[in-house]
Amino acid sequence: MDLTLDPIQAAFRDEVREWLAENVPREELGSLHTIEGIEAHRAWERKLYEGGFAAVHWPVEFGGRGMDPIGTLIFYEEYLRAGAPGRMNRLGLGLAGPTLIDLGTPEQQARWLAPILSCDHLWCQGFSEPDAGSDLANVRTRGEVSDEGILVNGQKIWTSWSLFADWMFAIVRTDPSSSRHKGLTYLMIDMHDPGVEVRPIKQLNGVSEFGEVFFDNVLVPHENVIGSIGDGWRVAMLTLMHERGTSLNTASHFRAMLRELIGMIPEDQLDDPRILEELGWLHEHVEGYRYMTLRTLSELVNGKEPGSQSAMGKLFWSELQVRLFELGLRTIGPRAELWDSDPLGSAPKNWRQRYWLGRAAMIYAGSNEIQRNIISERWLGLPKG
Amino acid sequence: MLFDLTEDQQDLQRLAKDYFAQRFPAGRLRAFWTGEDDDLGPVWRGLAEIGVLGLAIPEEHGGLGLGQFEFALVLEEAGYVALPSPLMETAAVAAPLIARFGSDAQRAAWLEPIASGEAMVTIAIDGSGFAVWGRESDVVVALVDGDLHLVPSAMIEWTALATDDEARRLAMASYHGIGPETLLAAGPEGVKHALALARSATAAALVGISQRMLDMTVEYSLQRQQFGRVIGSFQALKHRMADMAVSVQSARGLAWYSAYAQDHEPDMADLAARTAKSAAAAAGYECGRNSLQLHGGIGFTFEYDLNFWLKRGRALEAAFGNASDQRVEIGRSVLREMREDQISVENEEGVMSR
Repeated sequence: MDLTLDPIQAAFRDEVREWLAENVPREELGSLHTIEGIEAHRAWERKLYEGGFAAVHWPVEFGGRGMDPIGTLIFYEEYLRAGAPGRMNRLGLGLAGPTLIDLGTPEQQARWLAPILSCDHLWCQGFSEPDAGSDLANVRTRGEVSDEGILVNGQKIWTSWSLFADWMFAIVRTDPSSSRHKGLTYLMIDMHDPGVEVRPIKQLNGVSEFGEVFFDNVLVPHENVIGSIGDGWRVAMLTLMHERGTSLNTASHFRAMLRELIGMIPEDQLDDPRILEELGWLHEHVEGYRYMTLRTLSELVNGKEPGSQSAMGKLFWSELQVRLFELGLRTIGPRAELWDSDPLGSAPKNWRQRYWLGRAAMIYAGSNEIQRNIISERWLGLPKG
Repeated sequence: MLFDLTEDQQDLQRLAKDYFAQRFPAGRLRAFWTGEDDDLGPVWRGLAEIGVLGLAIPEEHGGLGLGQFEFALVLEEAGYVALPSPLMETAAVAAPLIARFGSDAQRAAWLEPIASGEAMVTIAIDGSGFAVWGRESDVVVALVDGDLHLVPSAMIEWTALATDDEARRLAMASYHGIGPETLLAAGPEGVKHALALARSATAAALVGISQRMLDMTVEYSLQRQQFGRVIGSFQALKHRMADMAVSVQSARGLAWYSAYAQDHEPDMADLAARTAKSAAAAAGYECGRNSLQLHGGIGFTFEYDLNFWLKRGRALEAAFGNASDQRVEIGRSVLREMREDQISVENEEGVMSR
């Protein structure tokens, strides 16, 4: 137990802090749901890349800084502290890239890793299908294997960033006689292929962050297979393991949201014990999340298999985040439904839309019910139902 | 930066776990409750022999000079076996208070006897006037008129109180002869410090108690069959146990941090202790409520051991302020800090910006 930074960590923190102070854009970048916003974020991502900070957790030989999980946490703490823009290519940097680093061939690594870092390629994740949500092994998108490649037909859905993505990492069923976890193959699919059609899905909060993706005779060459034909489930599980690593969803991110929330509470409610108690609950949970994640990162740095808390993060932060948004909505009463701005008070812009996105987080990346199944089966040893 | 146990800390945790498993198994707890064997002297002296009672006492007074963090690991294990004794009061609260605020005479009189297992100490600092193990203790850290006093048993009359958890041995104190010679720490600083230590230590014990209730519930749900299958395979029950596990892991991280803060981050000690106490009380509640429900009728019997942990958990949830009390104060403190400086960038020394 030691919560102080060692000299190397402190030097890295200072370097990051200094670079961010000079480079973080002063104005807010546009929304990620517009072309202009995407371009502004791309420019920022390129700046990070040029500064050597695009993916500090990647090994040095692939363009990262080779930071261990604690070093990566230090980077993101500074990133949040500096008020830097949200990261854009999170599926490429956090999932596709690390999967390629673990299992890609040197040719695959040479082809895809650098454009992820520079943000020339945006990535999306092709796992969910109409009949394969929580039950991911029920994937039905077909891939016919021949000498020319894998001919893909079928449909993915709820695909975040599919409207703007250049590449998709996906699992398809290459053995038609197989079922469940067998007979799946992990592929990189070019989203610009003429056989790929993306249809935006308008969400209840008005934006289209996700879409449906249809494949009509999309021929994917063999060199786009990660691992081998039929080995897709193992590769997909490895990808999902990277979701538990560090990311922007740090405790400090939620701490910054708590700060925003506190700024919006009307003056006449600041002594209300109901509000104070709920703020106390939120502080307790933000800090609880901090030490659960810090313990996992520390165990990883120590070369240990992380403990049960490593399976609890997503469930914990997504429920905490919703409760945080809800307290904000409660304190502003009928003004809570106002949309783009709040002319009558001090509520941050888009609080309601962000609340809805927060609700989505309880569903995506493995619904919270699936998370509870995983905790009870894998960590408590309870039988599958 | 590492939020994980060192090898020495893991060894200590194992030492405590093994000691309690050997010297204080569940059958021994029941024998204490039924009065069949209520002499805990050997268990207490054994704790001194393995160095636990003097863990956080300075070396010049016969201790090991370690900190609250190490002691929190022991307290969690003591909670796991629902040890009936003023372990936390003696070694995690009274000893550091005497070491920090005591006169030379007070330090000389009490620290070494605590480390060697000769002295048992309790605390009466929450304003209620009663204390666990009052009649059995040699001296009491007492809150009287806003000051902390160190009051020897000869100056106290005790009235035993009947309670839910009989193994807490609560008694109401009335003091005679309180004066400058009994003073330990004058004013609110000492009281605040004492309460932070008590909350932090209670949180550690509650984590152990909650973990035990979770383990018992998982074990039971893997044995008990209904509708032709073990009840632990039903999703409604699995999800409750998952929530119990989450509450315990969150509380454990906060209890560790709080104990660390008592040793190394004095500015954070009070808030960290309140936060740990709040989360641990919530975990105790979550685990207690669900363990009783999932055990069904058997959990309601005295014959089944669950009730020992249930009652201890409920008692400690309320001790030194329950979750609701803590959260109101935490909320006030966070609100003040963030309102005062909305754009402040805190804590220059590390990534642990709060």
